[in-house]
Amino acid sequence: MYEIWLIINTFYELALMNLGLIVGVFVVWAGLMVATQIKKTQPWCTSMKPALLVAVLVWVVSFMLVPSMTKSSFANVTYILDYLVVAGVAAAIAGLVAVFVAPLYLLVRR
Amino acid sequence: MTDFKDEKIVLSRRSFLAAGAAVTAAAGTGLSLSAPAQAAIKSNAHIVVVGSGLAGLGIVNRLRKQLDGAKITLVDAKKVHHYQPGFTLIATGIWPKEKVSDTNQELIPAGVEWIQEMAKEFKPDSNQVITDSGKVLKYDFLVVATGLHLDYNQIEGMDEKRIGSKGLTSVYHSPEMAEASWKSMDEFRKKGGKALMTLPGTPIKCAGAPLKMTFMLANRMEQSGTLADSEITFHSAGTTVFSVPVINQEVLDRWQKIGIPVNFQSKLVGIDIDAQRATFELADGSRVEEDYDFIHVPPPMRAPDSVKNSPLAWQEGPMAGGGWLEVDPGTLQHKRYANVFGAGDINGTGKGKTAATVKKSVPIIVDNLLSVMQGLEPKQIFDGYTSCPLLVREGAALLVEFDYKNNLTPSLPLVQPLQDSYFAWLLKYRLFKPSYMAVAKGRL
Ligand SMILES: Cc1cc2nc3c(=O)[nH]c(=O)nc-3n(C[C@H](O)[C@H](O)[C@H](O)COP(=O)(O)OP(=O)(O)OC[C@H]3O[C@@H](n4cnc5c(N)ncnc54)[C@H](O)[C@@H]3O)c2cc1C
Repeated sequence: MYEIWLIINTFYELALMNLGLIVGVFVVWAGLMVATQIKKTQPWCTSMKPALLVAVLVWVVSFMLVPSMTKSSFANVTYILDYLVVAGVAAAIAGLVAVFVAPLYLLVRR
Repeated sequence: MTDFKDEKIVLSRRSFLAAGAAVTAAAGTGLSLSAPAQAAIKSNAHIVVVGSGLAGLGIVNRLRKQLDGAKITLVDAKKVHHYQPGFTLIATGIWPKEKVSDTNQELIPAGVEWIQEMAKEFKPDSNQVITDSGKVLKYDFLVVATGLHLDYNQIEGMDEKRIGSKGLTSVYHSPEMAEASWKSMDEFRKKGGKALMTLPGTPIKCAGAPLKMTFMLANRMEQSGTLADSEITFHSAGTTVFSVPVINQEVLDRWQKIGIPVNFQSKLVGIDIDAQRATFELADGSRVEEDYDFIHVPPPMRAPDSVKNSPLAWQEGPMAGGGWLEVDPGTLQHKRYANVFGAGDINGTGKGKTAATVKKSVPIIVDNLLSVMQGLEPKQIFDGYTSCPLLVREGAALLVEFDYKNNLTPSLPLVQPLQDSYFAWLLKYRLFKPSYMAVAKGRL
């Protein structure tokens, strides 16, 4: 339980430290979502497959790049916990990209 | 033990239990990042907390949430709050110095009286703290969280203002001097030469920092291609480089592989900054001089004078020399003054002058203090948990966690303490500061 509380608090403070960036990203995403509502786009389900595909691609690339994005390198990824952390961070990046790809796809394929 | 009782203090046992349950529930579900206000315990006690470092801030933020009606006074003249674990990252060229400073004002909760002065004198027999300006603060309960004093003066010829010049470095002093130390390291690693890395004989905060500086110097020199033609020697004033035997051995093995010899019982006692010459005192009392191009000086450390010269300090035993606070290592309650607790680096306990110790011990201290306020015995026992992400090179660290008994105590499953790890690096590089801030705000 304490570990969960620790993780929640750590990410909460991390978010506070990067509030400007987070708000900026959210505003852009919200803008995209509004645009999909105003401009009559195809049904949401049509964007799921491309978003998922892009997410998988981004995950693979991020998996390789995450260590070097944090002043480290893949050579320092040495055991299961390291791999899990890199996979988790890559998944977060991939998820974020997918969330943008879905509305963008709908707007482009209108 | 002083028998302390004050009729004025009103506490309801039911509200105390309710508070505990509410906080636990909030923590358990993670639904709220703050404990509910209605669960606070009623009290009209006056609690004085001396020192607004990580420990002092963690204490006042928790007390503010858990007490209703109590007067809480924080005493410290310092207005800027420094995230000290970041100094190592600054001094090794990883972080800019701007990343480690916040203002205390933002971290002190509303409703806490902040006296922007230093405590000059502690008079525990009359429950008083006297400030610099002569103000007398009468307290019912006291938490001493003054941190420690960096005693550069114990090294003859040492001048902290010259850190960053003539190859003189020290990671401990301040963000500015950590940055100056990096400039010196950066210059030195480009041309190479002879480096002396030192470790004092006193208890020190983050005992891993001098080791991290050594690993990182070797790594920076390797990156610059100057390591092979240079000499790095480590001088330890004691018989080890780290107090936990298994980690001590691990570090020594690693240094042997990269060619860093260690001189034990070799204490830095003097320095001629202009001549770049250091004087070491050996076990038999004899002195040897060594020239250097680069030197790292972690200073001897002790309690600040106000504590050291007060009845609160250990009066005998190994902790008396440094004037450390005489607390019970388990409850962190003062051994002779039951209404006094110690938090953070000032504590004269066997181990643990780290932010990690503060994180684990502050909730225990607050809990025990609340018990004592109710006239109960302190129940929570601190096991001495401490931790150190030991940087071994840029991009990798060891996540070492242990307790008073030198048991390795990894706090997450799967952690392998002696394995070079990217995860441990990421913690130090990105995730420790956020969790540190949550401790300061009294949530962790
Ligand atoms: C270079 C370095 C690297 C570190 N690395 C790590 C790490 O990797 N992991 C880790 O867990 N920990 C690390 N630490 C240790 C950690 O930062 C400290 O253990 C922690 O900050 C201690 O908090 P504290 O509140 O006890 O003391 P401090 O944060 O030092 O605060 C003490 C406060 O008390 C005030 N004070 C002093 N005397 C008086 C007085 N007479 N009256 C009023 N106020 C007074 C001071 O002004 C100060 O604000 C590191 C420290 C350093 C310096």
